[in-house]
Amino acid sequence: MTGTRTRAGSRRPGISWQALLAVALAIPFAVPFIWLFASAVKPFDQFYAAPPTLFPNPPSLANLQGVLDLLDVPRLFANSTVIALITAAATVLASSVVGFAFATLPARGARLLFGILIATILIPPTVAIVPQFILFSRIGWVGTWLPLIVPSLFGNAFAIFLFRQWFRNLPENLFESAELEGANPFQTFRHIALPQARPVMAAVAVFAFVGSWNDFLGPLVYLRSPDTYTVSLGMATFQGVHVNEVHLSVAMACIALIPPIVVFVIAQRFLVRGIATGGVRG
Amino acid sequence: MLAAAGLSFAEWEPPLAPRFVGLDNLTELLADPRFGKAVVNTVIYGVATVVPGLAIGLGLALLLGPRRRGGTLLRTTVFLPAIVAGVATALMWGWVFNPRYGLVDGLLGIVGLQGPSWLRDPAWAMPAMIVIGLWNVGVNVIVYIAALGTVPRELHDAAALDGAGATARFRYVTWPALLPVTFYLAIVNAIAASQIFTPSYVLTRGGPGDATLTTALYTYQTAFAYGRLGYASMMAVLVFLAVLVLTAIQFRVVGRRVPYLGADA
Repeated sequence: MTGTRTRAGSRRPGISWQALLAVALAIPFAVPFIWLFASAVKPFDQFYAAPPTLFPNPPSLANLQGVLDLLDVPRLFANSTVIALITAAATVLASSVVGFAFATLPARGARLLFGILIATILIPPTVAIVPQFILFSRIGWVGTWLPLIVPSLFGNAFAIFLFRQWFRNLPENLFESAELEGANPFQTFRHIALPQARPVMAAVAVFAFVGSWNDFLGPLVYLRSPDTYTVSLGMATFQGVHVNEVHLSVAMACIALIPPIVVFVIAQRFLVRGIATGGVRG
Repeated sequence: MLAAAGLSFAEWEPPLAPRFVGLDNLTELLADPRFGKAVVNTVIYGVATVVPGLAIGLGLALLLGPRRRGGTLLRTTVFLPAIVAGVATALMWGWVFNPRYGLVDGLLGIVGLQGPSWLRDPAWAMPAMIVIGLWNVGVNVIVYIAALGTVPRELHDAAALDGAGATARFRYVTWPALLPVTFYLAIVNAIAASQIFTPSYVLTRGGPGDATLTTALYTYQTAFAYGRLGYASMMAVLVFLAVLVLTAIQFRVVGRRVPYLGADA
């Protein structure tokens, strides 16, 4: 991948037909965003214009202001951020410990256990949601954030898999020499293994954060009071109430998308590497 | 999972206590026309997104691969939708497909075509959902790009020296090396398709006339709108078993041809 040679025949400095095709194919991925952002800052009469115009003239912040007047948007963002941060931290912590255990401790039955764990990746969330809901309502957690956060304390099967792979690929005598020096498994994990696993930690953290941020079914099922709502749920509820005022839900979608897009552009290195690692090795 | 299996044999409509009803839920479900409709919709959605999604993913990966200059911006563009997927992008698509003021029908109008009402038209709502699904193909692209980076360069060079053209090199060098990844993506994408929920819930509530009712949405409605937890569990279990069988078939048909799948990952 990092080779400096170019494959025979593809050494072309100018614009190739592949480059043009690539740009042409990428356009449909960007156009809906452009349409959304342009629409969000259109004045009322231009927003509802048939045929539509592409760019607002002049731009207006009225739609965005309208959303902020009707909906406690900072509250929604704060809720989503807190939930996603705790979920990400818990997922990294729990998954790294379990992944380390699977990678190093030669416990009998570990392979079988690991197989079962991997199989749980195949269990879709909607299958588990009904029994999970019953469990959480029994212990009185419905209406709180706990059902959204606590499951991540048990780690995430995919993240455990990534950590295990990573730890297994570290030189074995790294752990052995730590043991000879008298370190217990926890110390080996804390001081030897974990500092080596920063790329995986970053990838898993971003993954878990994005997953929690985008989750809709969970908040929809478990949250009751609007001041506990996440961005997703608040936005969907808002759209349901203002179903005939599309300019408001479009502005809301715009507000909701800009922060994740900014974060993504900053964090994409980790994210891409994480997904690539999981896919190629899986 | 086990709890879901147990529940599926119960009639449970809180606040009433659960009551064991044997296979009643199963027989009712198999005769439930809305469930049948939801299954058909979900299968159509799955077939129409997974296979083209793999093809588009691979095609874009080949075009945007690691060696391309200026590829970062394009890769970011293609990948972004998958990362921000959720309620916000669903609302965005609702606006793109708006029959009066939307972008798609506006563009069709420019070339003199009268676009359909998309999400409000029973015939066009599902195609619109499929477009939204295909738009999230970014993960496939990223995974394929990473996989392309692992194809040994020497093999390419050797094949080129032996006079293999670009097509032959793809057919005999690149594609075999990509089989495991294709297999992985096929399974993951099929499972994801079987769970599709947010766009239907946000945009159409499964309508018009159940045209976009998926099994996940019907399960949700049954459990949390109609309050029939046992019946919903039976639904969830049945869908899970179907996905399991599908995955097993994929393993049997494709897995055998994938050299290192049997080996310890």
